[in-house]
Amino acid sequence: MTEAARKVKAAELTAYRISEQILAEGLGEGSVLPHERAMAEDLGVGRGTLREALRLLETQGVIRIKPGPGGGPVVRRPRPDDLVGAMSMLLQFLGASLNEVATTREALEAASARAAAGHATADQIEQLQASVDRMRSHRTDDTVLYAENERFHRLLAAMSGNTVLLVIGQTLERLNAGAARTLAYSPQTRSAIADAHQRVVDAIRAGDPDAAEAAARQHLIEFHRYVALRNGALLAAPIRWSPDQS
Amino acid sequence: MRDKLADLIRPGSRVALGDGYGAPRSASAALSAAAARAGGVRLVLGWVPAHDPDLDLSAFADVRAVMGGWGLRKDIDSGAVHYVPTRLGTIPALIHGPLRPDVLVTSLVRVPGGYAWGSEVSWMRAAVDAGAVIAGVLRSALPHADAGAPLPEDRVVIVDESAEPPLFMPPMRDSPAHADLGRRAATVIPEGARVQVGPGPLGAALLASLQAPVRIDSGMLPEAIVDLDRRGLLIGEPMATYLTGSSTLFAWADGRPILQPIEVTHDPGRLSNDTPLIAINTALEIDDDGQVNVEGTASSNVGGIGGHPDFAAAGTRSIGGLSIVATPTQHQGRSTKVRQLARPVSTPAHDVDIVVTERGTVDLRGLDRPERRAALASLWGER
Repeated sequence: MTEAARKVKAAELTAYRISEQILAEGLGEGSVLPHERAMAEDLGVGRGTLREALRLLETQGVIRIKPGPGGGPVVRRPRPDDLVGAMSMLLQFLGASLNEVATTREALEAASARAAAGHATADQIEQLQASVDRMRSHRTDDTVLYAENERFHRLLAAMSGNTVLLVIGQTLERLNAGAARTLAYSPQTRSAIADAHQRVVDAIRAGDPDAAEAAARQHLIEFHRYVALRNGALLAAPIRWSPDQS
Repeated sequence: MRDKLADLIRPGSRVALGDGYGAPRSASAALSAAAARAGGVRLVLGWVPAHDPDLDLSAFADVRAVMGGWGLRKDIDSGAVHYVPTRLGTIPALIHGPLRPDVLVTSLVRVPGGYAWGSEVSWMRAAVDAGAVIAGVLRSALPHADAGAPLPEDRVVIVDESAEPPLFMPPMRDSPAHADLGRRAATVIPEGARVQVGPGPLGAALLASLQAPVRIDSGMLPEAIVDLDRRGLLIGEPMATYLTGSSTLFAWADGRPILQPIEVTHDPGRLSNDTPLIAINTALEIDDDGQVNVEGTASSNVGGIGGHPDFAAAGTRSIGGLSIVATPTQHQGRSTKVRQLARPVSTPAHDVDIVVTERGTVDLRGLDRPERRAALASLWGER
């Protein structure tokens, strides 16, 4: 093992120990971690290794480094969004396209909706309904359409009660959101999207997993087709990572 | 995934391959390979608008086309594909009878309750009704324009999934000659009529020339429909069995219940009843009596017979309707009016009401044979 490789290994181990401490001590978001020197001494590692470890944790979304005087490492809660950058980087190198993302979402959203029909709380259902209502009441505003569409799908993933579905679902939703924002939507299409969302809400409210799954799958298939017929090149092109995704 | 298709192809099977712009081309290579392995497999083709390089015709014991099209021209001329002369309206009877397929390979889209056809239904519903096993290629980028009930999931074996868009055909050149014919033909179309147009520049020019709202009741639905709708001149949903255009048409058609099987679109009784039907078609050649050839030249199968005789007969039978044939008097330096057609008659003379050329329009209705011959001769400037 080279010197550099040993250092990375040490940094990874250190990062692991810090994250274990955060979890063990139940440090919540915003908790300030000790200063660099104290941490290095405490963990028995050099300052270089510690910095490397903190940088690793920052990339993973476990901490953020507060800049300036009185700054330093602060605990942050990793979110599904943190995966977007890593996922798009990975998919880019594996040569995946948005088409594959869209196909995967058809299956995942169907699974989320099915699970949500059994797990969703009344409050969650009302949030989902409120999103549909807002989409309907802003018929001409693209920003509202995009925002409510994204909110709907993120809420749905969260309502599955399955954390893995939530994380993957929200990550793929983010990867596809860019494609959705490139298109124009006629008033008929807007109301068709709102209708499709309403069908999912209705099935979840009725506690009907089959109907919820079918409604979500159909909505995703129809939307995939909508994009494919209007910007097929975008769907077929390989995924590209960009810094603003991380 | 591909093995599923091979499992369905048995020695001596007859296979029908879905046609039109949404033909399941991603499965052509696998189908050819499966046919070569099985041996004795017979292939039935429909409308093939562009050559399919992945379809190996030599893998089949027999290849028959009930329509033809540009993509089969060379293979029909060489004898590699047997062209079966038939009007479109009789294809379902052939598909239920002498050409009954064991397997239909077709593109499908996902819909609530199962699968549906995408950019054409054509004779494929007949193949399903005749009992063919449905080998579906699931397409994510075909429009859903099928007006029919979905095919239940348990009737379909999905053999492939494809994100391939529909076939792209470069738009035909706008020809001033066709624009002129279209303008002339448009003047005889009453407001509110049902209009049928063929593929190609004549239909596009005609739809572009219309100034009054019409219904569309056709075999092919050309791209010009989108502009007609934008101009507020389209009454209701159009009916057709093939979408023929580019992404503009496919995006427009998605989600609209447009497509019906040939049994409906080319049903002479339905077509010639109720609202007047105006059928506008072209001709490769017309003879002195007004008989029409659209099948091909002496040396080449151009388009096959297609729906020309179906719509011409329905237009003449329709009360208040018309069968119009529009053609330039010359094509590539040769008169389009001939003493003897280069091929057998596609549409009989008595199924032509009005003939339009760049020189004018003649109405043949109510005329006897000599009067018809004289009217046509004068339209071509022969006397």
